[in-house]
Amino acid sequence: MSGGPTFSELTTWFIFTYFILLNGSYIALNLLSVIALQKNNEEKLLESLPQVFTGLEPSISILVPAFNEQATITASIRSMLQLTYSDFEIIVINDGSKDKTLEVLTREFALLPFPNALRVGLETKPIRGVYCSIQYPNLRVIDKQNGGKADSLNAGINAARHAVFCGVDADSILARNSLQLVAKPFMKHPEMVATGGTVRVANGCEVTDGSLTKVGLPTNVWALFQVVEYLRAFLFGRLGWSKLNAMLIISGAFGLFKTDVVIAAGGYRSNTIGEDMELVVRMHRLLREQGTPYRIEFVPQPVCWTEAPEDFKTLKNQRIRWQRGLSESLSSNWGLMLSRRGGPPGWLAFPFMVLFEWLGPVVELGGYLFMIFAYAFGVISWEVFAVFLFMAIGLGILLSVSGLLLEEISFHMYPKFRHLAVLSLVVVAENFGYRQLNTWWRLVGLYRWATQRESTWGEMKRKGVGNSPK
Amino acid sequence: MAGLVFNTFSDPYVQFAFNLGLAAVALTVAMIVVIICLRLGLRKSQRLEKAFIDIWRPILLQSISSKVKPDLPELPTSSLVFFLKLWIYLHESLRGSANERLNEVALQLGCDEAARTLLKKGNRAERLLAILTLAHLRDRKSWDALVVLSTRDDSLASIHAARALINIDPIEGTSLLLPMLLQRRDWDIAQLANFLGAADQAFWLHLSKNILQMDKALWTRALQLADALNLQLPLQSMQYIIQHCESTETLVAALRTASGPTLLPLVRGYLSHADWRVRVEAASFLGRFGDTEDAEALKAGLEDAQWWVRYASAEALANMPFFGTSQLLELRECTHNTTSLAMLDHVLAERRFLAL
Repeated sequence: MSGGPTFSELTTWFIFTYFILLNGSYIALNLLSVIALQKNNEEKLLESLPQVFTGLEPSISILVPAFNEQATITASIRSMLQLTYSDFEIIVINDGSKDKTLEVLTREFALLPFPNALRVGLETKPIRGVYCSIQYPNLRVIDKQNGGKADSLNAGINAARHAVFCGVDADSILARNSLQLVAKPFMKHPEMVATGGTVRVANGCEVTDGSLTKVGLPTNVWALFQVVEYLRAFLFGRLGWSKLNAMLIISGAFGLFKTDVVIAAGGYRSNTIGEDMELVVRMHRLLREQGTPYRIEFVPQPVCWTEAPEDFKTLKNQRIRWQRGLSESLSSNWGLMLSRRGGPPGWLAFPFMVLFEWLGPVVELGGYLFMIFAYAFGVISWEVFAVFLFMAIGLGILLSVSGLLLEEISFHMYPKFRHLAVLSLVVVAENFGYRQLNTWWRLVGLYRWATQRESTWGEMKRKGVGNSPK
Repeated sequence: MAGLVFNTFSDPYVQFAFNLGLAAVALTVAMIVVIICLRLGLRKSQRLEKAFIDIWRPILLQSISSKVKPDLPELPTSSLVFFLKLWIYLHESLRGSANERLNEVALQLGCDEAARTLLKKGNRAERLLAILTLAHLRDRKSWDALVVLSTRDDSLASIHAARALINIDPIEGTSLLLPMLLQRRDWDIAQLANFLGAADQAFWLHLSKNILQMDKALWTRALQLADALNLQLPLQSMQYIIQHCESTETLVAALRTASGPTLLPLVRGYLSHADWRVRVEAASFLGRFGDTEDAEALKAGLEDAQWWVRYASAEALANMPFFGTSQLLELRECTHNTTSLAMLDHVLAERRFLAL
């Protein structure tokens, strides 16, 4: 044998180290989350007490972009009108829907034309008209040419009357006290610029008139896998980063932002796929560059429920787009990476995202492929191959179970033992195929981003979770 | 090179990876056991709590409505936490004599002593429960312990300890806590305003007396609290703060809290301030207290570069008692600037929709 390590040995070392670092980072985030959730648990008593509004809560403009939502928009808006909060307005942005979204809204909420003085702060597609409800003076509808979700949100920002706005998906199901919970950090810290809350999968839950009435689990296996993914992503991904003031993502399904800060940052970018993440990363970058003190916080309480795709094709497309969105968000804000004023977002979260979320699919899939080839060509023995799989899958299952544990020590939203049993099976099962499949989709997303292949949000196949107890 | 060979299971690095995998599996099994135990514990606790509430809620409700002192069953120590949770919930939901009745029940059951013990020896959740209990009971004996707690780093425990102190003695509590009420930025200001509602006069007294002597950095929070509690600070103090404050945030808060036409000459100058937030507050002030001369200045505000200033100016004009809808319509007719026109239409339409 020669004096130096061989290529295969070095590669094996690299893959081992990568897997250990990846899982080690997640475990560290997990520990941060455990501490935060423990504290949150101790404070539960206070949350259950009747809440009083004092007028110091920031007034909120809820922005609801809607594209072809005629079937669900009425229930969604009626449910939003029931939110418990001191002062809020709802602005629905009809993004050139081809169905009867506008007609349905006009009929159900008695809309009349409203001469809204719009800001010219953010450029958007032409506005065709603004309407206001005579039944609910805090409900307005903007009718505009189709320009996508980011463009719609920008149009909504231009019409927002309040200092804080909340971007909400039209099909999001919000908890009654969602605004109250997510606005709380704004009252504690004047430098707060954005907050986000936990989003959960609504499939399998009972929804009546746009409100969640009973939590349940879906029977569809793809949706079940996503229930576990959402637990992991929100409970220890975002909560952990939030503790370090380094959260780079606030879900587009529900997030609160300071209106003037977003306008100053240039609003949502309409030429990107992951506009929600891109905006947050850009805000970090710009505010860090300016040396402006700010905070971006995550609220762990489940505040929003969303319908997850239940078929292979929609799920695949969604994941490919998410990876493209991630790539665009990181590459267009590269200035944050290890920058002099970067702080925790620039020195921890951004490099983490680059190494493990952005380039992760390349190394992960490359690792699996390398091991298979190395074994096939006799470079490593079958025992070593088996040990690699054992370690990788074992750590994967550990992380999945820890998401479930966090849920159980904090919110235990899934009330039945049967739910727990099913989720326990799913956290194990998802590591045998589903996660690898996800890695593959992410790799495709990365490739499409690198080759600048055209990709749009496309159509989400909805089964619907409203008024249909399952 | 022997160390870098990955071909055999006996290699130390492969062994390490294997052990890591084993540890992961062991931890996974342990976590699943913990999850099951947690769920069993939760179920049991929920069952017990429900059974407790089924018995005690009617008793407490009856004690609130009845004029006769109720005959209370014994409260087992194991149910103390359930009782306090239910008792606090009712306390926070009710007002007036009902609260006094609830206090009588708690004292009859010895909850004051139990809460003091929890405050000393309980875990964080139990301490929070104890603080809330003692706050409602206005327990003088806990004063010293609560003073210590109010200075702790724990935001929630300390703010509720402060609330308890203010409940026990509004005058002494606000006097003692005034610097902290204004300094501790981790104390939720809306929550503070809520607590201080019961002691607003005491707060006003201390604030009016001390505001000019305190650090200028504390003025913003002081003014925000005064605004939330609808307190009017002395005119001279407000004049001094507006003229001598060093931050835009303070100026914004001062203009929002300021009231009375005496301040008009001073506030008018801020309509052309560089920061749009100040211009918004100045416009709103003129809408509340301005005269005909100010209407002209507000008309100029309709052309401001910042949307919020244009909106505030139009709202202010519409709010002026001598500037009704007909005057707004007249103004609209003779306005040629498109942004001003758009804002006037907007505000006129808002009023029309509200009137529908």
